[in-house]
Amino acid sequence: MRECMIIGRPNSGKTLFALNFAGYLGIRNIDVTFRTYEGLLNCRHFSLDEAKRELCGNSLHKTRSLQSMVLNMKVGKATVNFKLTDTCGVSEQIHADEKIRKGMAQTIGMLRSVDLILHVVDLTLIPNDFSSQSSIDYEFYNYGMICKAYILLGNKYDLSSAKSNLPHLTAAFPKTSIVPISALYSQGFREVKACVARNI
Amino acid sequence: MTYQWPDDIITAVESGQISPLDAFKKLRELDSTAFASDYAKDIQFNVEQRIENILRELDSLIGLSEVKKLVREIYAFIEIQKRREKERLNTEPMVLHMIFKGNPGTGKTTVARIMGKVFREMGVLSRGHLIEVERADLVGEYIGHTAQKMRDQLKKAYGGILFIDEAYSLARGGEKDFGKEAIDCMVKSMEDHKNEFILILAGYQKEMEIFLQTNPGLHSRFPIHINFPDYNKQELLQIAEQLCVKRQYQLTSQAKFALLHLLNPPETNSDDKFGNARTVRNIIEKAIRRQAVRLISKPSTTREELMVIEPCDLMGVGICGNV
Repeated sequence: MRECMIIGRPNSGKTLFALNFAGYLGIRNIDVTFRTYEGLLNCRHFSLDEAKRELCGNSLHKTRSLQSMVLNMKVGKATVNFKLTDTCGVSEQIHADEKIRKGMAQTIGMLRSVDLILHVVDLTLIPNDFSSQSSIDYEFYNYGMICKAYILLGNKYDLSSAKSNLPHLTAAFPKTSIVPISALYSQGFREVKACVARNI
Repeated sequence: MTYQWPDDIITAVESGQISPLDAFKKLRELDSTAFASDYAKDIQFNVEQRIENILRELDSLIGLSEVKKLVREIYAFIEIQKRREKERLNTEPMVLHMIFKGNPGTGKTTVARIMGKVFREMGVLSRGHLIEVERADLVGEYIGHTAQKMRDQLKKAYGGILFIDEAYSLARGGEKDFGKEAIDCMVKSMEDHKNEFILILAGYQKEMEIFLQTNPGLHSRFPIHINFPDYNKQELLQIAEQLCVKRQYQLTSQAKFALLHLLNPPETNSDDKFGNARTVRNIIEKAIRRQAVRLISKPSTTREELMVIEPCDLMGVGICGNV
């Protein structure tokens, strides 16, 4: 089974994208497997609304470990299963909380073994001079360019400020195509689905 | 601080020694050094060197000087044809079907395998594998079965070499035998798929001559004929020594003398089925077993004793049937 991984900065909308994308694929109830940094596995069954209430939030670092769900998608005539893994957001600095540091390390460690990387960027937080190379998004992008399958998703496109920031993001990451999405309103998911289908 | 493995960097992130941003930079450095070393290795083993290594493997075979010369000729021919093609000069069509004639154990199969590797490296064959078949694999039991079987084997061989051992047996069954059908099918695909595979027919000298005369088209379709001469006594002794060295054994000078006595020179041997190199291997293997029996009664043995093969180990080892 192919494994897709969602990465990005904290609060860029990774978990909401994962859950709404599962909903877009027609799933109403999901089994989420939580894998802690000690390697403990814990599986919980949610309805989609329950999952959104419990796993998503406005605070930073709501997700602190790997959260995987098995989804299926029609590719041609066949139905293909794939694993979608949501991760702890990674920021540039060393975090004071040990649990969050471990979550970030878990994300970086797993990044090297997955089949497809979905990189979520918050479009509202793109400044004019985004091309500075010291950002963690730039590191994700660089790594994505080396590996075979990498998709850059510009999230929160429904907000007006995001629309004007999209050209800045395109200029900063010229080697890849960017899919503008709104994780909250499930916009742009058709393109994401097509990209994922090509890579699983 | 330098990190040797990606796991070390991830542990450093966990413990707060480095930031995730630095971790990415260090991981990139690690990857680039690993990639650089791989790249250096690739450059070192470029195509020409790989071919040279394979030809060296061929050179390490004892005797077969004619065969070695011919393989180098074919290699040079293909290389020059390629260069001519680059300069847009007329090129000869590269039909490389071959006939190997020689007694059993003279190295036909070994040379065929090495040729497969050379052709793959040169880009003549896409896969360079060797499919070894005999009459039973090609001739069917009822009408129409033969063509089916033959086609199956040919399909397997595309991109490599189809090696038909004892090929003369295909024409031996008489008028009503299905072997003829196999030959017809073979001749057809040799022409149709001449760029996709190389066919090598192998067999004893006399029988192969007769076989080639049975079908008038056969002789001209094989541009390369290679004779595998029988080994002489000295070559057989060298083979025996090489076999022993490979297995970490040693032949004493008396044992070598005994072995020379044991090997009837093939030219005076009336038996065409004398096994040559294979027989030598069997003799050495039998001698190794006899040495083990000799040593097992001793309570303690030295390293020397475990390695040395004495003349008594070779006593009573026959040439053909008894080995």
